[in-house]
Amino acid sequence: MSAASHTHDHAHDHHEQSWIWKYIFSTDHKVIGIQYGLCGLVFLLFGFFLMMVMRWTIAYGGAPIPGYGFLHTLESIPYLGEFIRWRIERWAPGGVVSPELYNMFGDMHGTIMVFMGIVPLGFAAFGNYVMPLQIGTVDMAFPKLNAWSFWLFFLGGLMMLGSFLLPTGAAQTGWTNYSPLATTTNMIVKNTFMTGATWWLLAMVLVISSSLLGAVNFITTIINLRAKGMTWMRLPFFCWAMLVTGFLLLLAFPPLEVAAILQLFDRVFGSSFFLPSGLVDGTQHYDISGGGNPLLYQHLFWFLAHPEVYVLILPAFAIVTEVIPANARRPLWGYKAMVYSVLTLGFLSFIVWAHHMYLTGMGTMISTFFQFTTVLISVPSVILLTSMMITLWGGSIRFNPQMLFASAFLPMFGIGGLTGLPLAFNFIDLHLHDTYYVIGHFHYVVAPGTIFALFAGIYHWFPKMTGRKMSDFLGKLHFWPSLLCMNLIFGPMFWQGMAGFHRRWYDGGKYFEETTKDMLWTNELISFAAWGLALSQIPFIINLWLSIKGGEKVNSDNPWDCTTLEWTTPTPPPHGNFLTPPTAYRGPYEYNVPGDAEEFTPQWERPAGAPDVSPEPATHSHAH
Amino acid sequence: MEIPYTVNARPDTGLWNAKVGVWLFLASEVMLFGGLFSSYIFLRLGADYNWPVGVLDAFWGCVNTLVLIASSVTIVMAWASLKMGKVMAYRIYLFITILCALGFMAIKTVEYKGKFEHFGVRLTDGTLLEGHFPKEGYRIEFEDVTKFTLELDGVYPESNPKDFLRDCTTPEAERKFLNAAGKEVILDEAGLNALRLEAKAQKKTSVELTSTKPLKFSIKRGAFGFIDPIYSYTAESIFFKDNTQTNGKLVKDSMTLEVDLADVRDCADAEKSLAWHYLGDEQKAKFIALRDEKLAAFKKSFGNKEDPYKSPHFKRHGLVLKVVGGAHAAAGHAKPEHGGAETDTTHAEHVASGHDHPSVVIEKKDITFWSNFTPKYNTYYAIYFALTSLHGLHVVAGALVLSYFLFFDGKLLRKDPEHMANRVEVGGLFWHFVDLVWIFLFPLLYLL
Repeated sequence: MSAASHTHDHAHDHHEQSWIWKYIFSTDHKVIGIQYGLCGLVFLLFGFFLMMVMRWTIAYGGAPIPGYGFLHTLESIPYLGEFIRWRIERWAPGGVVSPELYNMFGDMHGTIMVFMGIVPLGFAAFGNYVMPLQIGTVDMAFPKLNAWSFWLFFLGGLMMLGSFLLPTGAAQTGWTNYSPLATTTNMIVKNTFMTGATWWLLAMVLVISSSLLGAVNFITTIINLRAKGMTWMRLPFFCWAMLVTGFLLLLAFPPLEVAAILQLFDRVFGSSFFLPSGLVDGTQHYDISGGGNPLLYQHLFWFLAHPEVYVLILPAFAIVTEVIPANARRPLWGYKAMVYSVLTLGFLSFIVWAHHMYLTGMGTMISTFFQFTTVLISVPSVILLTSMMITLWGGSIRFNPQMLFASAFLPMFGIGGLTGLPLAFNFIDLHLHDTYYVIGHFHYVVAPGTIFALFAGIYHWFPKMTGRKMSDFLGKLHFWPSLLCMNLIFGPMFWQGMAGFHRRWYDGGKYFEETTKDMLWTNELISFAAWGLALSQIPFIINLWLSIKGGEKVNSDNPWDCTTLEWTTPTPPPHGNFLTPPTAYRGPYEYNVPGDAEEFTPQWERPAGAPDVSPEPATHSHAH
Repeated sequence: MEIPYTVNARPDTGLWNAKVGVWLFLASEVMLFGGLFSSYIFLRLGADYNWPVGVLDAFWGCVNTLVLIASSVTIVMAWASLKMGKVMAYRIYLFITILCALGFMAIKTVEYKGKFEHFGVRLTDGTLLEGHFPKEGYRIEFEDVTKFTLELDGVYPESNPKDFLRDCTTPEAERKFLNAAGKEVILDEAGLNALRLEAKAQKKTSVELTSTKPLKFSIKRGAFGFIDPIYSYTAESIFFKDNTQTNGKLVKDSMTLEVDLADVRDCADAEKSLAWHYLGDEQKAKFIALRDEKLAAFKKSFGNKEDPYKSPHFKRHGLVLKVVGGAHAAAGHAKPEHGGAETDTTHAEHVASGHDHPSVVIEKKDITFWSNFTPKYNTYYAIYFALTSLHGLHVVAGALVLSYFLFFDGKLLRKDPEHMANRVEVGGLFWHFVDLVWIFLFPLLYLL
């Protein structure tokens, strides 16, 4: 190699990365984690906005949305005016939400919240940022692949949003997109590729591919890149939960990919995977061969979508198990039991899917089997929740915002879980299926459950990411109204559901006024609570942005006195994370261990008398 | 900063990163193809029609199996050669592997092409006729088209002359359109804009145009929804995909098919099937002879105890007639507009190319469903295309990765052959998986 090119190579290695490569197309797990996090938050907000519009229609169907008149005054502005005329006015003439728009928003609310909001935030953002730090490594095993996952996800998300602008609007057939409805809607158009339902499928294929790459990366990193001394039973529970989540994504997503591909075949190539023989539209037979089966779609869909529930909840458990011991100043109770429980939970989550399908008439034998496994899976869930509650026992609890959110998670998730038990029994489910009871149940798990845990995570790791704490006051102003509103939203839904309110009523049940009139006021209550919940997020948004530059500076790398390895890095951690390769000498939760002199002992603290393990010699050097 | 264990194995797990990664990736691939294979089982068990058996060319399928197995051997040889430091041998083996992938895809392409050109028609009595279209395909013809209703609401799809006049056979110079006021309209961008404004002024979203001269249309029907230029048509109207509607008179709606197979399994009375109406008595006699022969053979094996009509095997062989011969007679009957000499050449060509099949003209009123052998035709072809196209994508992806190793990874090969060998091992693992999937696919789709 010539001297000139050698110099060039050398210069290249030490070249300061330009802004765009450092913050946009970065391969650093922390930057990618933050990218996922911000995107996830934006998608959550957008999904919530869709729901707020829907809540207006449910409570005051037929009346124009407040503020629509103002929108009309903007019509003279170029582009924006076009947008209002052709897109908004088309779906909401005069500001009245049309049933099509309601369906679109309903479909997209579910899809965006689950696949673009919670999973990227819980698994991808926190997992990416925290997991490599906790296991004490420099980065993910495949940093470029990591960047690819993010950009695939981003593209899928943009496509999902872009589908609103298509001539047919976004998909309108519920977040589950069941065939035959999802296959036949908008099938006869000039170009099947330019329809909302087709874009939904294409976007899902992108998002799924992103998740698969992410899952491979996460699992490989946890298996192969743990720091010296970081044995399996010294692994923070956070990483265990991420490992199991990774496996769920890895193994459950491909069948959904199959479902999406086959439905795409049905839509684009006119096949009949999910279309039975003799399907008619009005009086006319569809021009299809038939011979397929709609149940096949549901099996493929729920084979993913049930493990997906645990993909939503396990990262929440992961965060809460870090926040609670740190702020209760107690070791995590039953660490080993929790590890085995989470593994069992992961396994069982693959064999419960058909409890979403009791009403399809797949047969009592199969229903009974799935009823059994569904009840069984509550055992590990209860072990996890109970262990966390017992962890609080006798602790000297610090009620900072993250602890408030984490401790609120426990009863909220408890309500969500326990109200799920009746649904596990198929004779009760026949009555409650597709009512607001079901909505209330899974939103208790995901909204005040998972989202509270995500907030806890943000308050907890914010100082590590930025070097500043978020405001305590604004945090509490965020927490208390949120807690109140969440319960006012989802609590009455159980009541509505048992009264027979169907989840897909566009007018909230006014059409059936004879039977629903005593309960219609609850629609308004829930809607006001939803808008109240939106208001109570304002302190959080202010807090998040202002604290980046104006928050109280932390005076140590370990401001919460935690024990896991991420708190030994410089703040914020540089590219490569640790100044010297860390070693784990002990378990992850040594807070107030009886007999210890110290109040807490971090994992990296060398026990007296233990040999000073020098860092491994580099096995593969690139000396210049 | 350097990621540990990219080349050397971590002592306690015994694995380097990419090896863990690729096994995990393969696990997810197993779930992907597992989902597809489960779908196959689900569809086959639940099929409410005669599931096609043995309709693919098993010989070429078998050749493809051997090609892939050979490539699995050569990829291992490539890896082993690299490990032993024999770089030239490594390159040759890798090159052979890539050639095998290309050969596999070439055979697959020929197979796909054959399917796209093969059509099946389900008649109203349940009879199935299969065969090829003549060159011009299936065309419907309209005359006396004078009134056009153009949809111009600014919302896609909007009427576009490029779409709705594409299949107009009247020469362009002779087309002249008048608007409702009787003024001539030129259908270019400016003219359409003027119409749009006109519609808006009247608070309508559509405008009506009249053609001064009745126009003729000849529209080629595509089997795919997105190829077809029209939504639907009746005897008096056409509804184009750009939302334009016209009046008109349907003058020809029949399909010419060179029949190579008549399947009367789902026909209530096989001897009265519409197939013989179209194919003539000669084929009917052949069919009766075939059926009786198979019935006799069935009786010989099973006596009178079993009902042959409950045996899929008997039905598959006794009620499905391979239609050969009679191209000359039927063709003459089918294409009265063609000159005798021309028909003769066509016939000679058919016989020479081994396609001696009668050409029949099937009336639209007798057809309930038609398609080429694409996913639309039935769920067997649907899952066949889904499985093989996804497998084909894997073959292509694998071949691309191996080509990258061969043509663009020379630097790493010189600098760090051990790292390169790791890469080849990972690529090879994926390649074995692709091979394994085919080993399941081949019997499932070609033999069972």
